[in-house]
Amino acid sequence: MLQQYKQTIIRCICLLLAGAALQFLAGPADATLLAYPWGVIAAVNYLYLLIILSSNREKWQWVQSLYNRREYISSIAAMLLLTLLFGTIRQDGAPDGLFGLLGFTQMKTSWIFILFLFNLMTMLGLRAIEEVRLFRKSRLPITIVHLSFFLILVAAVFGSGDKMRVTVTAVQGEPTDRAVTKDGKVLHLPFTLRLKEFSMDEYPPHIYIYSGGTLTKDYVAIDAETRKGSIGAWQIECIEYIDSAGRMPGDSLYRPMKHVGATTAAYIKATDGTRAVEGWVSCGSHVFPASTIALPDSAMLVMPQREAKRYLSRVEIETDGEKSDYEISVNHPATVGSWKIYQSAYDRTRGKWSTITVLECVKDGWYPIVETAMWIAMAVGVVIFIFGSRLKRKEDEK
Amino acid sequence: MNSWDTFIYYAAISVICWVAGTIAAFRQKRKTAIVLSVGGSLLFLSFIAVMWSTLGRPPLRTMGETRLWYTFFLSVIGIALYARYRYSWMPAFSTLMATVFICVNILKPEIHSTTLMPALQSPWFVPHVIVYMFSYAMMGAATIFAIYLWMRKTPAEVSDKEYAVCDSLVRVGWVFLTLGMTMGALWAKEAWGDYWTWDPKETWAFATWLSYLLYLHLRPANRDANTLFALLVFSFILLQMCWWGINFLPSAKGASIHVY
Repeated sequence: MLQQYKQTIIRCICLLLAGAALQFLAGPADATLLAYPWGVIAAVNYLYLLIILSSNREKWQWVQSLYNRREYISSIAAMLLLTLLFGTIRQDGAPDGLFGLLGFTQMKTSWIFILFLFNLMTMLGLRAIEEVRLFRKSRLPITIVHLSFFLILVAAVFGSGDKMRVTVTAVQGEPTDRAVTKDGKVLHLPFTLRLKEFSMDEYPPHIYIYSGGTLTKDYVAIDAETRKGSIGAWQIECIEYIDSAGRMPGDSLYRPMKHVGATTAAYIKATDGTRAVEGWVSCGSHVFPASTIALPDSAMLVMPQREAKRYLSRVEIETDGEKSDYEISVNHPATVGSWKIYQSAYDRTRGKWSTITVLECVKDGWYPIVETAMWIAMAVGVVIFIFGSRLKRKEDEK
Repeated sequence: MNSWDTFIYYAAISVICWVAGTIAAFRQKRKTAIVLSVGGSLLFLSFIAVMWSTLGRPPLRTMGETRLWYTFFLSVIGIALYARYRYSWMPAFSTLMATVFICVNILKPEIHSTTLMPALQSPWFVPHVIVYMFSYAMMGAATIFAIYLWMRKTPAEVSDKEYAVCDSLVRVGWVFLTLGMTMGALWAKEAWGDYWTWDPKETWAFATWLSYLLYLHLRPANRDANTLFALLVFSFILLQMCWWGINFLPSAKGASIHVY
């Protein structure tokens, strides 16, 4: 079997050596080399070259050899091997050791990985072009799947230099166009963004027992319907619940309060059959400290900060003198021209009272190609699932 | 009593139905076997439905919850394979696997949280996870079948029909892996702004996908059972790494946003 794969193994070793040489000489691959217009120019030339190779396959022996089944099997196997290394080696960019020298500790920018990905893409491209050239109706779904994956890879590889991702920290009421890149570089966006309001929906508060530095796994959720529960041997009952509460200095009671910094408080009775304790427990806020109830054996009843169900930024965006309002939350980005704006974070010390929002602005001009190809691949996947055996039968009959 | 407390009752009756179905399959009572097994699976599905309604969100977030779907799909695929190809041992294997997963869920439920973080609140959440669970169950069945063929007799005796069953399972499983991965990519773009970030979960999902892809490309010109079945078992190990193994992998600690 090894004898059969001799040629492909030699080719893989050559790729490996070429990748290692590039890594030593040029350092990690820099995606910005493919920034517009170079990415487009490279992609057009690459596709042109593939078509030239494909149409001359009979003339050139070495091109002909690329269509061998063993070639694309080895390109998949090599990619699989590298992906396994990618998943196993910690991606911390450490430059030491063999893996560090080869760039495997930052696989995304390792020349070896990129060359093998390029190799897989090329095999796939040649195959896809061949299938289009020698079109067979029975192989239509497979042809489309090959073409879709090829397009995804081309857009991902050649478009990698055009992806832009910046962070904007907006303070309520103050317009800003200032964005910061991952490397800390400041740039100005083609639009101005003003946070009008930040709001947050929260899940009901949970009561835990804190003991020996950890929280119990079990908890009691306090909401309109549930006021009772048990944690281990302790029966917990909520006597009074105030969703938005505050406590004046020197006061022992929490009172309802609709004010910046208001917190959540619950009056709890807890008993383990022999002992009973009661008191206020609160998660606290940037204004009010948290309250806990002491239990025997240095344990205590606590209410951690409530988990966010949804957080939303209402922003006004001004582009070329035109103002528009947007609501941005996780999974619901806003689209402004070629930019997409994502909800990323907020001031966690203030929680729902945060007056700042952290948004991420992303530009990826190649994404429409990727998205279209993914939708086509999914549609064809469904076709293969439904008509798979029939397609296979037709194929076998030929 | 929350719905998780009732799991053991639903699970016990489902397992009884599946075991009875398995016995009927061995006794060549095909219709009885199918009816009993389908009954068990429907009962199990009804538990998932109750869970969904009680939690107020789809039970797809925690490992324990995904195991529920895996168990359900595995039982359904076992029955479907028996109904289609009449392998009377298939319900026995799917019942055994489903029971193991039920036991894991009883001993280590991991269903404590009722909350769903904002990133998971998306229309993609349910199809993405269900499609993956279905795919995992298909690959589980393919692996069982491969091991059965590998161990049963000398590899040279694996028939065309048996290879065809194995290929069909992998092909359908791979299509669903692709659907799951693509849905995940489209969702990631909406949630995080990038369709692929080489997060450890994504890296292992890609490795799993490539490994099964390798099988699909190797198979047409290959009948070497040792290579093919070893590759299927290896691929299934990768799938386990992707599903839960990365939670324990040092290289993924603190690096994955897919750990719930």
